[in-house]
Amino acid sequence: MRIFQWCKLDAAVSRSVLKFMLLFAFICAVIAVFTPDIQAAWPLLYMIFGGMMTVSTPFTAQPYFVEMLPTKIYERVFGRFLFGTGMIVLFAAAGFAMQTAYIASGDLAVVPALTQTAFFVGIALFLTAVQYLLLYLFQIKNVQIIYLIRMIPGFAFFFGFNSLLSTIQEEMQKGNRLPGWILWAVEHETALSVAILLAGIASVLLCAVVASVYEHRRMV
Amino acid sequence: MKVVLSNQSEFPIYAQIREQMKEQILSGQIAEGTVLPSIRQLARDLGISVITTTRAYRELESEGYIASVQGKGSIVLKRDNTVLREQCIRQIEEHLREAVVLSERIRMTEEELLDMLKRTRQR
Amino acid sequence: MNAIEVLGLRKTYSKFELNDISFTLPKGYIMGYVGQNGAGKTTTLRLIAHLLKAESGSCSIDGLTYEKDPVRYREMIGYVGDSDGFAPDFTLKNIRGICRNFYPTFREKQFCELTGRWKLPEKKKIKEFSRGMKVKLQFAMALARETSVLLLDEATNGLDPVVRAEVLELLQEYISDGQHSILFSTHIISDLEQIADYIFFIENGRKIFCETREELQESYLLVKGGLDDLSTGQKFLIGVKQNDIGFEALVKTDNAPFLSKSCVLEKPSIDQMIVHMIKEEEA
Repeated sequence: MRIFQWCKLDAAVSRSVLKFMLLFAFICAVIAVFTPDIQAAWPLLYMIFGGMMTVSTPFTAQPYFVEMLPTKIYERVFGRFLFGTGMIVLFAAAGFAMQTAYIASGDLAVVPALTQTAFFVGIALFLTAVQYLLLYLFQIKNVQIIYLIRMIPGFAFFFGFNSLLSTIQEEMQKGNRLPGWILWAVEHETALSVAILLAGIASVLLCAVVASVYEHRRMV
Repeated sequence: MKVVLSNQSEFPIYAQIREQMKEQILSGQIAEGTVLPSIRQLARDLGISVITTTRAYRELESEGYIASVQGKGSIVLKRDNTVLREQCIRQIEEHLREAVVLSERIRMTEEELLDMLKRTRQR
Repeated sequence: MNAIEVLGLRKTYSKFELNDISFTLPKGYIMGYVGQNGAGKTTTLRLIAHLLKAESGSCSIDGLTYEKDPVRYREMIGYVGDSDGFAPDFTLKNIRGICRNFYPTFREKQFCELTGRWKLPEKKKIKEFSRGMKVKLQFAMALARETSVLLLDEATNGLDPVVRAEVLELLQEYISDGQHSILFSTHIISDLEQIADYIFFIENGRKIFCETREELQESYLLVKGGLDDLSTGQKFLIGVKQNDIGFEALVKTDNAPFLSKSCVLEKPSIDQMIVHMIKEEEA
């Protein structure tokens, strides 16, 4: 199945960035260990953020030897989306592992890490899918613009959730009553996370189909 | 069989091949019935285009030196083939006519011309 | 059946237009696609390889179009371009793996044999390869699998003379079974002088001529003469280049008798022909 071959190839093309990401993960772990009052979700958020910084790397390197490989167009596009999904899941898994270790070592009472991971992965997948779709639709080849496009959702994701979570924590520590929608979200945590994850996967599939159709129109 | 090509020659490549092969066929260096290398083989060995070798073979064929046999390739025909001899004779006649025309232009006598022919043959 | 059939290819860019390119290349032959830099050679080859989509026109390999079967179409093409077609971080091993995964007919043993013969380093990254090494690598990739045509875009540039000769030999071997063909774009024509069967000459995105090399070299002569020879039969001269002591031009062989008898006539090289034809185009 060429979809998997393309996914592997995209990973190979992004190799140097992925190596760099090992360092990123290490730094993440170190910061988490040495910052005692850090958000419990922080390693997870940070790692998914790392994943989001990585997903569009194959778009920046499209040598013609790769473009010449025999393939059906949809296989190539789906391979790319599979790569993006894989990256997010891989980074989230690393973040989840760190978070679990962190929770286990500390004495903080936190929400179960798995549902939280599912929630963030769902959102990251959605952002990735939209980002890919934009890159396909507008045929963006300029590396600077690709960097810019991947920075915006990544940073919005990381800092947005980080500040939201710390605000919640502060409010709780002050003993203030939280807004109703947050309480509702916490109450329906599992269902909500699963729904978000499914929505993320659905958006990946949908964007992959639209991108395939567009690429097909463009090249055939 | 031997073909040596020169880029400096005034003759085009296909003509060089044709002439060299003819010479070898007539002198018996390439025996009757020999299967010549294929057009593509020859092009590859000489580092020249297929169209060039095709042309050389085609001309050898039309002049009756070789024949192409389906599935076997090009085969050298009988040397004392009368067609071939006639062709040579025709060519000699042509050249002689030219020589005569030139000799008349400079008012050369018949003896002088014959003398020249003898000397040329002795060389 | 024709190996390559190109009909009315057209592609427009802001400053350049490839206009109505058509030709056919029969199986078992080599065509030289000749023109100046920027004449449209690479664009044409990329259109044929379907790395670009043409605005109009069609193109088939062994009778098959990309639209009909994109996978098979690409499998039939071996593409060797200028040096920068690779992901910079890859090593020979990665390339081998990709070829194995994507090309069902990939012959790994032959690939290794070629890369070994050309001394391509196994462990070095492609970005550390010299230009010549990158070209050799592409040749190894193209030759170590089943293809119908090779599209070579300025491929022998950057090769040293020994390897260049070796590559030309491999190319002749490639077409020698009469089933494979080569389209070869270049501006260094000495490469082609002997092995090309057809010459396509493109200038400013337009076809100037497409003929067999034999015919071409027979239908033109190179004329050289003094300035006083210019007046006789001047209208037959193509792309006249003149200076204080004389001129050089091209003339159709049939028209040669109309020229001044003191002119010198020679067999032109393809290079010389093209220089004068470009000159004529520009005039």
